[in-house]
Amino acid sequence: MNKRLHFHNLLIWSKKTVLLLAFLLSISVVSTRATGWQGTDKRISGKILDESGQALPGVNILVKGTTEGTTSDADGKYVLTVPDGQVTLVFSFIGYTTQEVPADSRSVIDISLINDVQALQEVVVVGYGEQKKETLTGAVTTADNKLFQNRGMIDNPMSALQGQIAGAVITRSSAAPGRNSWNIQIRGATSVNGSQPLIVIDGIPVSSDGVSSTDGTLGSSSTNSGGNLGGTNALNSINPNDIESMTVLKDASAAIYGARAAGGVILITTKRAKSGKPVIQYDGSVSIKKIGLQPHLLNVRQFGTYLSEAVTNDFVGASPANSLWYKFGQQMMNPPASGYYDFTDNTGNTNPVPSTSNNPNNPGFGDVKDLTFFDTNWVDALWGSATTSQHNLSISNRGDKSGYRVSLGYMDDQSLLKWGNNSNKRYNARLSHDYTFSDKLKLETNVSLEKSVVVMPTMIGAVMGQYQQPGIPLASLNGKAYSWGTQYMPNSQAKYGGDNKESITRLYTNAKITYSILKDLKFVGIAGMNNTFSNVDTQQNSIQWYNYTGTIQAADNPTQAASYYQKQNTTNVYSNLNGYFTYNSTIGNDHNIGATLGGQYETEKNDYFSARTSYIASNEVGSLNLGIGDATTKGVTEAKSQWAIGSYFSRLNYNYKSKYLVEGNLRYDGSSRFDAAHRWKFFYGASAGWILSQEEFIQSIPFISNLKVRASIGSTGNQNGIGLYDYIQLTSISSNTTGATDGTYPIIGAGTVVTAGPTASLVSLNRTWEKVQTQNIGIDFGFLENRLAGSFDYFVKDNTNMLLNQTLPAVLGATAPQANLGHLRTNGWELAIGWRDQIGQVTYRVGGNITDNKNKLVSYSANSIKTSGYNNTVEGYPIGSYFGLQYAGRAQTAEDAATMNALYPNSTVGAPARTVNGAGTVITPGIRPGDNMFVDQNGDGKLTTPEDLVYLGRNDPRYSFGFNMGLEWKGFDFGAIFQGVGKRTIYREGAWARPFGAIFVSQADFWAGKTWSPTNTDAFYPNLASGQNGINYNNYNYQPSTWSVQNGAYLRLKNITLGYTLPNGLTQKIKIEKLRVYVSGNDIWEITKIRDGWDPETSRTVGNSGGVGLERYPFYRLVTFGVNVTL
Amino acid sequence: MKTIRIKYAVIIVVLLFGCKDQLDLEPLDSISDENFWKSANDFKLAANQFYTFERSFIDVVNNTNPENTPHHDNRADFAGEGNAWSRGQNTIPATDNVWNSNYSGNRPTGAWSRIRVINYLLNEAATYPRPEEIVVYVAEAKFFRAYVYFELLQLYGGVPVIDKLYAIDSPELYGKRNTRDETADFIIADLNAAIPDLPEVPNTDANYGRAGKSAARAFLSRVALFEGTWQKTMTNPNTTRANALLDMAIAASDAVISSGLYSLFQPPTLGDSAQKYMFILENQKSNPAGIVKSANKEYILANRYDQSIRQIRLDISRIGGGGGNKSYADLFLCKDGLPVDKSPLFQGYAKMNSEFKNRDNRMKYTMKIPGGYYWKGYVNLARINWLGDAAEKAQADASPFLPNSGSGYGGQKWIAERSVPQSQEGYDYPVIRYAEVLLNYAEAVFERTGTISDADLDKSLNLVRLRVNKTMPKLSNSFASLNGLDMQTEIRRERSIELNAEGFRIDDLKRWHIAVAVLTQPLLGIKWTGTEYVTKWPAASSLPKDANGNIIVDASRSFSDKNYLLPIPSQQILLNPNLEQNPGWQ
Repeated sequence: MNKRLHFHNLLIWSKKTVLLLAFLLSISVVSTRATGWQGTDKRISGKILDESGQALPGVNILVKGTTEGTTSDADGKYVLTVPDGQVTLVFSFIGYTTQEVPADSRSVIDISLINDVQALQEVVVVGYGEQKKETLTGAVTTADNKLFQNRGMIDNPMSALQGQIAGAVITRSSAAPGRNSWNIQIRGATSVNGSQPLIVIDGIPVSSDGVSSTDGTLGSSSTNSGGNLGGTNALNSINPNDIESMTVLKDASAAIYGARAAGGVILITTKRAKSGKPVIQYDGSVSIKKIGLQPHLLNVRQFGTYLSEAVTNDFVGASPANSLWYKFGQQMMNPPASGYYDFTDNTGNTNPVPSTSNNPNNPGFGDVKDLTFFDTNWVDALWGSATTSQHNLSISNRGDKSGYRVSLGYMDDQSLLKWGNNSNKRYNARLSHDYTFSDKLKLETNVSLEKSVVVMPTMIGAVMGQYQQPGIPLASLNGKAYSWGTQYMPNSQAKYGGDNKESITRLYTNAKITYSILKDLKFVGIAGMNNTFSNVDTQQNSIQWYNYTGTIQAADNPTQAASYYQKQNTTNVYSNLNGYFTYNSTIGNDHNIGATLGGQYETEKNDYFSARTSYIASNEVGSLNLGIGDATTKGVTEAKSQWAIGSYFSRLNYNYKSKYLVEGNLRYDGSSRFDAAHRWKFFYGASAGWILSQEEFIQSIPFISNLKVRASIGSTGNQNGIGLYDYIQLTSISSNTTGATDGTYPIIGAGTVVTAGPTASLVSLNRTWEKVQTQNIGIDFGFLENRLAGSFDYFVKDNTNMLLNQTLPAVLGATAPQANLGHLRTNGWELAIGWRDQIGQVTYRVGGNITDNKNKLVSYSANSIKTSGYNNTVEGYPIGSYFGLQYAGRAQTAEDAATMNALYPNSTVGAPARTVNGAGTVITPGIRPGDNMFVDQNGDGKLTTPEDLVYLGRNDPRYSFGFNMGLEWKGFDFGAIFQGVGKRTIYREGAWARPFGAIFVSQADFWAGKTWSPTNTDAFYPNLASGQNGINYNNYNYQPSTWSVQNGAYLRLKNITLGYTLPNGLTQKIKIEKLRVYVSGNDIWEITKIRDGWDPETSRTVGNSGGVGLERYPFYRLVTFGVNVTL
Repeated sequence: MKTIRIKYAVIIVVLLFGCKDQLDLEPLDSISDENFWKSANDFKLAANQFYTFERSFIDVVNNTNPENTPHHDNRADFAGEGNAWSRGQNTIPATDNVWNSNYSGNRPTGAWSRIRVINYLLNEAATYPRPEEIVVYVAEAKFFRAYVYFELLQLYGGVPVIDKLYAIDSPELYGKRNTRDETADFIIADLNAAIPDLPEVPNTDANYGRAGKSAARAFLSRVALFEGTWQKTMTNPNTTRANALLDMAIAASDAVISSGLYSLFQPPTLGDSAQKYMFILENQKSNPAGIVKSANKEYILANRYDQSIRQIRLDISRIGGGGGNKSYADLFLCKDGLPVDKSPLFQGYAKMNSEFKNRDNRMKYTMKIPGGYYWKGYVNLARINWLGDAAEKAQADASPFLPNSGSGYGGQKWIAERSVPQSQEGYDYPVIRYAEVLLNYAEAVFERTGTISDADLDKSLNLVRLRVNKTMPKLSNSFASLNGLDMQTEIRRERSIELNAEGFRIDDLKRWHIAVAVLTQPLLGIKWTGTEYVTKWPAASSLPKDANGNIIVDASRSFSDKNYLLPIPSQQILLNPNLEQNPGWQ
């Protein structure tokens, strides 16, 4: 009863929100410019200048006590009709001191406005308000909109931030259009449960939850939707051109965002109208995408040569002549002139059984219909270049009472993939508007409509595998899909397998009113609603495969029965209502106080359904109506969820003479994820600063222009890993929807029964947010009249109640809920420094930043055991550590090999066995000359895990850095941004990372000619091997070790831009204020130590032979030609 | 205008500061516990889940993960192969498949998670306002709590007795084990509480498949016989307790017999193959007579399958059962009711098929006779016309049967003969069948008093023995004494033959306390030396053999006293040091 009442209230409340929002929005479309005075009285005109005598356009002129007024034109001139009598004109303009002038009887009033020094000082957007940069005490970094200019197609603003924010490590895991999966980690790891920063756009957070639109129960393909509409993915559809600035809160200053701020907070402010005259701006660019770093592949003859050698090595002295792969290798070394052997007979039999006996050219394959030896390089065959373009048009204007900015954007991002349909199209429209009702009340609104459409082949997973061996044709002789036995070619799977089309529409609206209650006291109310609609249509076609001569050879794959059409629909509605009072005052002349106090209520509802039908009638038309299978081929599923957070927050500032600064942030969060008794928690931040450069003893040092030391301490929360209803015992009800093959449901009476019971997990009442204690000390400096400026910060983060699984005695009978048990400590530093100056007509700047952090799982879990390779969590080590053996050089002699063989009888590291029969004949030799040797760390005479494993490094980058430079000379501008990583350890998993890790697939050639042989004993790589003859030397030699890990450090030219702005005099003739053309390049050069050919930014798992998802998409280089036009 | 703005500002503030109550949000796509347990049907759905706890084919047929099948015959002495448990070489595992709180999704798979889910229903039932509506489901919960606890008792002995829900901070989590007697009494009390409230559920009932009154009684007879004989045969027997338990077993099994609701499956049209076809009975034509499941009144509690509703999904026709070894083959009586060492009808081992002649008919329908023709569910290996003619024989599976591996004995139990695609077989698994009840009765009577009357034998054991051996002499006191037979041996023999490959043997060896004696002997296969096998299976020449020329399949059996109970998984002892490890495993 009680619950129902609450729900009812919520409904009413939601309606109120909607009404309020609608009301606020309706106000915002009130005319943007008040019409002139209709009276008969008198005209006043004049000209407004600044202190240097330049005309000031866009100054507001208001008749005091009325809403009547005008603005100055481009020449600073104005004309105003005022009622007869005693009137006072108010002249106001941003950055200038407002002046009131009694008109008396004058008809011409010329005035000069005086620069307001205070107002011109840089302000920084912080949580629920803004602050002067000068008096900030937290670790806050701001990036402005210049980052997004000149970069060509930007699919997500995170891409432009890479290397630009000290303390933020930004990585990507794919280059698929619309699926780049940008990941941002501020100040290193915060939790084993992950901790993405909270992203706030114009005061309204975007969902940080993993709003999933994938469908677990119906078995949808892995490519659907990227799985997550929240977090950085929510920025996939924003138009970067609309971003004015991004501010990153890194330390306790984020505490005002409380329970979700442990990963830092990114505040995005969108552009608004600025000047007082209409500005029309067009930015357009066309970019060419070229494939970036990819492993280079062996051609047919190389493949055959090395395969023969590897198989020969595998047989260690015995003859490999009977090995299928040896024979195949020999054939590849001497392919037939025709390029293929056809094993089908000529009797019209379309499905003969091939065998060695019926064709001497068949080395022994049982299911293939031919052997082909064409020089197909799959990297070149699948990937090419593409053209992408984007166009942005914006119009903005500011009148005396209102300002607006309308922007339209379009981006068309095409794919490197040559086969099938693959693209990302984005459409944007944004309206920002503000209206000043009076000098007390102001309304600002933003409406943004964003739509992105990502199309990719449903069978994209086939393209993401390790490609087939060289020699395979791209199609049969008559142009049909070619398969080699049961190997289906990825190009045809992409082309014929159907499309996955994801369309995401975001409608973000918010309105903000500011009301000045008293001179120093303001109220700000913000209402926002973010609607996200995701629609994924997936069609999986049946494909018919052929042999090279084009006669039907294989059954359809997928079969028609396995074809399907699926529709997935997600609606996500996030609403936020917040309001706060701000008070700023100066008491006496020296005591500046500021206070913010407010509350917030947020709620999010997520509604997902999926319908699917298998066995579709047609490859051409996808529809749920066209499934022709029985009832078990159709399925529907739904998922709905909701959560809410209520919060109170406050910030208190005090400074004495703008010299000694203190600030406190408080947040009290209550979440629907916890039961009522354990719901509310406090978070706090406290910081202090001392502006030394205000002290006389510093001011006497001439070269110091700014010097500030800061310190902060605070606690922020992380809610990753906390489910929505962990405190409510749920009942699981399930019934058989699969049919007779599901044995889970007992038969009672005539059919299977529905079963019910409590869910496996116990409810948790005392589980709470992970609380991360942060400490920060920093220094900001500016020398030589601020030409050299920068900052340095050192921080420590302690997640002392990290959520971990707990194991309780089994008699509990349930899965114990996670508990706040672990402790992760992260510390690090960051440095940002820049120099800007002018030499003659050349202005230039150079700058850079570097950051590093270390983390350690201080207490994790008693049973965290080291394994060889990547370990996500081992107590005492960083998250994502590698362990492996210590390399002891290459065995060069029989004695070396014997020494190693002696270690192996009881080893557990996958050493090849040495076996000798009773007569003393060596059956398998074990370690041979040319194999790796490793160190027995504990000297117990055997190599074992975990005892002999050593720490190899961590997968997360260290020493992330970026530096940039720019110069301007006359109309020319030049800029370059470098970005890189100073230290990273990668152990590349999978078959790609070793020769013939999998045998009938393409091979990277990084090892070609560099493997050990008796005549090449200095070779970097060990004896070539291919895992034949029952011995896998590769598994032994290439196992994780100090030898096999790679150095992931790199330096990359992220962006280089050369622009030219046409002389103003020239463009004015065609009524263009500014015309600039530029050419820029992204990712066009790098230095990397990676040996295996992959891009240094790709993941450790990219070499796995299957199931790596979109990580396999090649990164690209981008060359952009663009134009900026301002009218 | 201005006042309106202020009003809205005030509204916003009020809303913001009044939002506390808006944080109570309920799940939208799943049912919270508060909304469940509102009707009798909710209890029924919850009780339905208990039926997933029943033993099934995977527990007695499949042997790919022997650690997961603690009652499999491979852990005992009559299988064609052994494993670490039959050898007494199993070690203390960190975790095992019973003593845990595992779930598969939200379906409990460990004994303790099953107990919790059962206690959950009982806990909810305690506050249900109309208890009369749910008596049956409460009774089913108690039946299944007994069912799960019996599993624990058989494997580990005394275990913590839990009749309520624990929370993560419950001190009981770190409690000691209850004694064996307390555990057994808890099981018996649950069954006695369940019996009066359960309805009878014969195979004609709309609820067929649910546990009925007779199932609970039959199960009580199993439990009481198990524990009664355990108490009687252990090192320091507790005769008083044993007698009380055996009386209980007699009464419970007698009640099932007296109900008249169940009978052995023996349609005349199937003749001596009735028992064989019962095990593979389906509603499709699965036997020569076309008998379907409705004719089976033997299964008191069946874990039901059906090709069109719920397939076994085990590839059971490939795995099969009943192959056995020499000990098992020698167990079958000859047609004159005498064991092989006494019967003049026994033909010896000279030919591969000679030992199969003149034997209990169950032998030829459980094991494969060399030279015989056998079918297997798969298309192209299955029966065509059920005539056994040349056409059918032509596509029989690996026939004529020629032993060339393992113990040399082949089995045909649980193998479909009809053509059914792989893994789609749909015969029922007999969780409790009437034959066991009859044998429980005979054994309990004999063990209680040391004698058994001919009338009691005719009422029980002889029904089982003669089902497919119409001409075999009955077991009677006079027949036994005339032929120098030991009554206990004959009663145990009958049970061992009838219930082979159904998960009884290892527990029988334990409760009779003869496992150490039996499982330290080598596991023997066919007699090779001096038989036809020398030429038909020459490869076996290299296999080790005993003094009589029998193949030794497994010579390393060293079952010892500690193996009567499984060790408690080591992780559990670490988590709760109060949990005392079983003797010999410390």
